[in-house]
Amino acid sequence: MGGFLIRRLGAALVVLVVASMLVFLGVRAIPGDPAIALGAESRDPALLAQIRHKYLLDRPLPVQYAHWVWLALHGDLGVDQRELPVAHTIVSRLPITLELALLSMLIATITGIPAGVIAAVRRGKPSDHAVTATALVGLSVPHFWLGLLAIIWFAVDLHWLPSGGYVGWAHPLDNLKHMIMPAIVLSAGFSAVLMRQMRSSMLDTLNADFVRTARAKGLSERRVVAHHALRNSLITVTTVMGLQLGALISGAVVTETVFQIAGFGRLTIEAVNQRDYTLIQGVVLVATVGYVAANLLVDVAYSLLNPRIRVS
Amino acid sequence: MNVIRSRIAAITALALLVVLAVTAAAQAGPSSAQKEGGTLTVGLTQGEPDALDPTLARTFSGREVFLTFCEKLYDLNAKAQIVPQLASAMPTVSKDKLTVTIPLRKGIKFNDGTPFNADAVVQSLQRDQTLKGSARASELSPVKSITASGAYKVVINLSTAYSPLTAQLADRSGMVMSPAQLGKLGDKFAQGPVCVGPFMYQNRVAGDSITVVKSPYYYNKKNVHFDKIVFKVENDAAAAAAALKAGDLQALDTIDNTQLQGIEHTPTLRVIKQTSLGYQGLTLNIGNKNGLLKGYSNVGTPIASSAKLREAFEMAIDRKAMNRVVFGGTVLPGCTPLSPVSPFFDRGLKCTAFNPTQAKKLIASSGVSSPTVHLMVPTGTVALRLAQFLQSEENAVGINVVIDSTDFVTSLSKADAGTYETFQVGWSGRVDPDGNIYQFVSTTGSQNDSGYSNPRLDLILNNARKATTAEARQTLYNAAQKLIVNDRPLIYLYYPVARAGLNKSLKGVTMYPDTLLRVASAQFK
Amino acid sequence: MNAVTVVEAPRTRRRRLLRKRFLRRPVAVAGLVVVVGFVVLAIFAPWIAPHSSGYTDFNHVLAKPGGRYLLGTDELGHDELSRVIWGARSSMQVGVFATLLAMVIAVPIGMVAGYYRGWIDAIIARATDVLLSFPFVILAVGLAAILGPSLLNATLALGIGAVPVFIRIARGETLALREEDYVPAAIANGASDATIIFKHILPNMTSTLIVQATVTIPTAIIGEAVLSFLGLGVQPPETSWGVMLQTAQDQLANAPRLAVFPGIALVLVVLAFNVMGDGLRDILDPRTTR
Repeated sequence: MGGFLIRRLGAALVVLVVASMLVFLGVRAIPGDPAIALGAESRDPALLAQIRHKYLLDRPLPVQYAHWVWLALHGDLGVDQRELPVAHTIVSRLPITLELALLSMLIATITGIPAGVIAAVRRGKPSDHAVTATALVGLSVPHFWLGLLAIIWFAVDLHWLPSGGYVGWAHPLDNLKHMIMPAIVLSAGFSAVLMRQMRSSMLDTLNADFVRTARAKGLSERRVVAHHALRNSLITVTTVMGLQLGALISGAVVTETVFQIAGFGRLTIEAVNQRDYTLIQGVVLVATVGYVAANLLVDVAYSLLNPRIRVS
Repeated sequence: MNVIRSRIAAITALALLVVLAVTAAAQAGPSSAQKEGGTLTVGLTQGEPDALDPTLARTFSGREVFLTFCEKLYDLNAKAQIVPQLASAMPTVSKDKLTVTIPLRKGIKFNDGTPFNADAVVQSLQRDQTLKGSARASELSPVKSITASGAYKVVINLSTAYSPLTAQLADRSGMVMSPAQLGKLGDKFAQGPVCVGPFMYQNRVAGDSITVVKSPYYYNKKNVHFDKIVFKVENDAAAAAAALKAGDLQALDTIDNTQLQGIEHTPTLRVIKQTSLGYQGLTLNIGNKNGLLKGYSNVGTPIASSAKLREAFEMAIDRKAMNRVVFGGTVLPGCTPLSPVSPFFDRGLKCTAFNPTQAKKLIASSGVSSPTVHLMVPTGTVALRLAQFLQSEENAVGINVVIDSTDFVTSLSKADAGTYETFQVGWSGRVDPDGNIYQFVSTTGSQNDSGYSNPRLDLILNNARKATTAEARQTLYNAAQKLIVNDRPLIYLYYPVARAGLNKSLKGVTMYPDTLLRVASAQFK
Repeated sequence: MNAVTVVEAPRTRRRRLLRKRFLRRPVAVAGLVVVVGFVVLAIFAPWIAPHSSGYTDFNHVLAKPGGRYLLGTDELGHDELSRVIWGARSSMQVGVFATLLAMVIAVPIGMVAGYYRGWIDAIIARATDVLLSFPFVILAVGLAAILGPSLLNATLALGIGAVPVFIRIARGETLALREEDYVPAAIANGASDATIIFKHILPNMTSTLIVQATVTIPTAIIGEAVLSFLGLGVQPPETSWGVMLQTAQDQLANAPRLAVFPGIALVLVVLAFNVMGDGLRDILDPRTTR
């Protein structure tokens, strides 16, 4: 277990370093001078030169990179174009996206797992077909279109829910009202994948020898399903989480755009539009750390649940 | 005699004070229907404010927020005239026009309780001139030195006559920052800005909101009613409108066209509007071949070479139809750099009328057969809608328009570099006409992306900068506009009309020609 | 020469078998039909669409469906039906070309890594891991921002974004295939590495690549819509379903239908590709073949 963990950790570190370099270079490859973006309505060359100087944009790339890494290692991600600390900005936006992600994972789990189990148990019956078809549609519908439809129905026509925006946890009910629609929209794809995975792994398990033995021993079908569904669903959820983490991040960017939620994803798009180098770098660094860490967690959790994996 | 006069003045002042106190007491009585206190939530739709540091700030939204907590030496009134705010009177200018003296209000305090005085003004202005990355330095470039003369008088020495100075001091250059806070935060002032103002900065959630609370130090507290104002950043027009309808916002600084009907039909809301001092139009690359400020050099495109083609291009555009189709009738079509709300607007100037037949003739006589014109458009729904309208109008007279959609920041770089033919762009507008004209069309203008150069126009514009009487300036600006409209380094298309949405429970919210939503002295009914 | 003919004959037989098996799945066949339908729409858009994509009718702006315009018009008087049809062209173009691009770049790299193994494989595998650590859409958004917004650049961005997945698949397949009996046989016959890679390994991984393509094409189609929706893809006056949805977002309160039609087309295509891909995977799945 220890060796496995160290190997994983080392690989994660390499990914992190390379990713930070790629992002650093990639950001600078985006056309559009950040000094002009910062200058807003003023394009006085002297001012632009001062701005470049202030943000070290007139220094060689390795110097800029080293400077950024050095400060980042000390926990300082620099200040963005608003002159606010990047770390502070990220910390204020991250919980919003985490809430959205957790809520949608919760929704996906409580819809996807039972649906998958039902489909497997009633294989070939109408309920199986219904689940399979729903999952297929769920996989095919892009988040942002589902979001637009939801806004049309629930906000524009029915006035049940606000069309967008975010309210803090200080007002829990309002918060939920604003988050429920985006969370459901974001959960659609995730839920569909869970359904499919759960269905197929349940089918495998139900046909496995040890389950047949259990049945032969006179265990009721309900107990067989309940016993094996539980362990199975844990493995499935972790697998799918690992596979879908990227989709979840991409989905959050789009969902936050559709619903105008000032979360982490929205922040990324804004930072890119503003050519706010420091902010983009900070955001992507945090996202990559989060992504790598989450993958690591999934790997570890998976290897704990399914020891065979560790060997291969 | 002097003694007697001052005594009379003192007695009058005392009497006035008594009257004021009595009326104020009467107003504060139970008969008043207005509510004091409460929190106002304002939606900002024009992007997120940048640094809340008057020296560095560059955005429109930032100016709206500053209005509540950072007063200026001068301000604008409803007629786009400049009036004193922290200054006690309009500046006096010496005969040689090189020394400007500004008297200050006495006995007022910054929002940290420290006194406001000439030293503070001098420190702020000097910071504007020298701080790294200052966006004010160019606005104050003719300023040679700033000194305090006594505690309440500031003397500004200029290197050259500069009549737009007062207008600059009515904007961010005229904001005075607390020296105590500057001492504490230095160039990180934006993290805790302190000025003189009816409200004081409380906190900011990046990308989301800025909160200001009522100031205990303000000199005119009786005109301040809210306990707190929250500015919410709204990125989406529809979501902002929905929030206004739902009452989550009580004011929205701009209403998008697509949301206007819905808001007008909501019984709890009302709309106020104000024509902007700015314009929107097209910049035509005439002589910007080698980059900004490299002087005129023929770029060789049909539209740059042929004045007839430029005229035909403008003639093909039906500004009225544009207003109807693209903007749902919500803008004010026009053809000059100065909008009708500017005191210097030229009512006598005739626009190039929509005339497709004549346009076709002009193209035929221009010698360019089936001309193609590239139009650079910053990405964005409305801008692209306008571009497609123009494309279709030009197509009707035989000019093939190719739309090059480019993200905004890149489009500015390309405009400066001269790697474009025509550029769809606008200007938010300045109170002083110089701010709408000089930098764009004078040979040495800092934003002369057109690469246009006309010595006669340069002369007129430089004289207008030095002229002090309004009449003289009016004559010069009329002459300048005639030249610009005739040569078409820019084709002006329309003046935006800002519309703000307000909850009917609000009173006292105003919008002046700078189209900033002014909420500082508003209150709930 | 002898070895090739020996391999060839069972392959054609297998193909016929697969076709028969595929045709026995009505859902997958329906998917195929829809896909073909959209391909036809895309290719013959100029003849099928009632109007050109740039056509505007300023006197009938935001017209309701029915009447002169079957699906109504948008805020500039574009014919909605024509735009949905022209949008199919953009979407198909992006989907197919991005996938082809990804294959052309990735398959040789993956095969080299899998065939030669050793240090070259280690480098390629690590690099693929790093690239795969970025979510596909995020990678495409970054690339599109660098390249600038346009249909071509969206195609490039999505194609490059899909490269790592194809490398991984081509590498894995090559690793497995080079252990098959016919590879040592070919080596014994004196075949060069190139002959082995292109004549023996590549043909045997086509089915896997095709299955992956049925996954990548709809992903790229959605990717284009997302990029255009974020303002990083196709730009008006060019049209695509993503652009239509982006402009429709502004009109949600006035004309929600504008967000419905392009979305339905998008979902239909993606769904069709997905069921077709599912069908293909089922019939090619080794567990069912063996």
